[in-house]
Amino acid sequence: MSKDYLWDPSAEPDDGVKELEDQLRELGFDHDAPPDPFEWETMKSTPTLPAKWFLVVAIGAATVLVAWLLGRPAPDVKVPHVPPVAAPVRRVQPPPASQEPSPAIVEPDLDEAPPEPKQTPARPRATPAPAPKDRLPPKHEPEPADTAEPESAPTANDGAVSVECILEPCPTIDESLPPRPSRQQIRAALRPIIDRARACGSEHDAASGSLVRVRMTIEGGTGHVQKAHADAPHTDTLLGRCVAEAVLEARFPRFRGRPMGLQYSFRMP
Amino acid sequence: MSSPGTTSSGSSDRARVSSTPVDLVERAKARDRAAFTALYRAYGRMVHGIVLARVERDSVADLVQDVFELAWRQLPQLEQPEAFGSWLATIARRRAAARRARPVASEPLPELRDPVSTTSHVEARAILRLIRSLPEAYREPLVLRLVEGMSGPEIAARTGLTAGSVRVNLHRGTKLLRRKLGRDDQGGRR
Repeated sequence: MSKDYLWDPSAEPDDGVKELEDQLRELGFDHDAPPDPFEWETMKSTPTLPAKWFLVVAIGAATVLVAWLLGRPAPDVKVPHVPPVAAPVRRVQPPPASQEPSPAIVEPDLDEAPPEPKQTPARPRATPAPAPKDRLPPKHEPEPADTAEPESAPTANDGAVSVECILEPCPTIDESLPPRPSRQQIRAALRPIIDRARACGSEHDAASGSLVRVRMTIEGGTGHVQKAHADAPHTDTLLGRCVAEAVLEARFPRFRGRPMGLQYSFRMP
Repeated sequence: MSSPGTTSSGSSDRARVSSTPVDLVERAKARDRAAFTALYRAYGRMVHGIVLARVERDSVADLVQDVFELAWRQLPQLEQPEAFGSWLATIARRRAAARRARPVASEPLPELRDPVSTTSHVEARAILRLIRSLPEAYREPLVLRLVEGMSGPEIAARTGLTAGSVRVNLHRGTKLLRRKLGRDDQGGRR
């Protein structure tokens, strides 16, 4: 055999090695696969979006405030006394304006420490990150609401802040979560409801071995299935609805990415 | 194989990324996503091969993703940019080892099964299983060479292993693999 070819593929091919290469090539890294599963593109952009929104809202609020102050009949009364309007806003989002520096750093979750031996600052860098406080994790809601309120008490822009959080699930972002569940986790999450989904087949006389494909949307902040529906030909059938309802019961591990779409086919018994 | 940083084409984003690996690492450390994407393109095969040499193929895509995500997050702590390849390879090996150690139910589920199982595909998987059954030192270079199409020098350069050990392990591993496959040294079948 030509040893050179094994070492250097530009040398004259060795038949045996070439044969192995040809057989194994299809298992190789798919260069054409888009890097979209790699969340580094979204890791930073997701949190900055609310920040941008907040900036816009803050500028708008400031403009309104200035206009209101200028338009007041008695300009000598300098203390504007704004707070009354602010109350409902707090619940929505403490100021994300301070969050720009943190998103790329905030990843203290890693049980798999980085392999570079000398480094220790992983924890120190991650822990002081102020972001979690800003991000308002759902369970800590009461505390940040109380503590964070005074400093930014944004004024009359409550409506706008709410819209931001309707458009994007900003309160649920938790940087310690993975960007999305792995396949193994998806399997594990679906496993408990498989029997129930398959029972739909018996219940609605589905042909044995037939597949019912369900599309679902999983919300990262809760791990719940937001919506699910069966694909054709089961879209509006009792069988399709039954399986989709079973899917709604699935609980996935929480993740920090945007809501995730997933298709899954259930084979009927 | 093109060198890191020269694989990109197309978008202006990528066109910008045409520098040495060390430059790319430095820029990626500074949170330059285009640079990191270039690193992904340059080192994706290596990571894929390292993982594939250790875990079932169904888990490989997830693990490759994990490895790069972890690398992206931890990159600012990498002190020596020139050690990026071996650093990344170590992450990949550790992640693969952790996955292997974790007991995972392997019930085949319809949606996740391979849609096509051609004979060549089955054969490829069988050979891969054989490679995985070889001594550990041979697996990684063999997969990187035969599956990922990397050259010997490239394997050494990317993974940080010495050229000598890669070469020896490649040849010994191939010999052993052929023996297991029942193929003689001339490349024919017995």
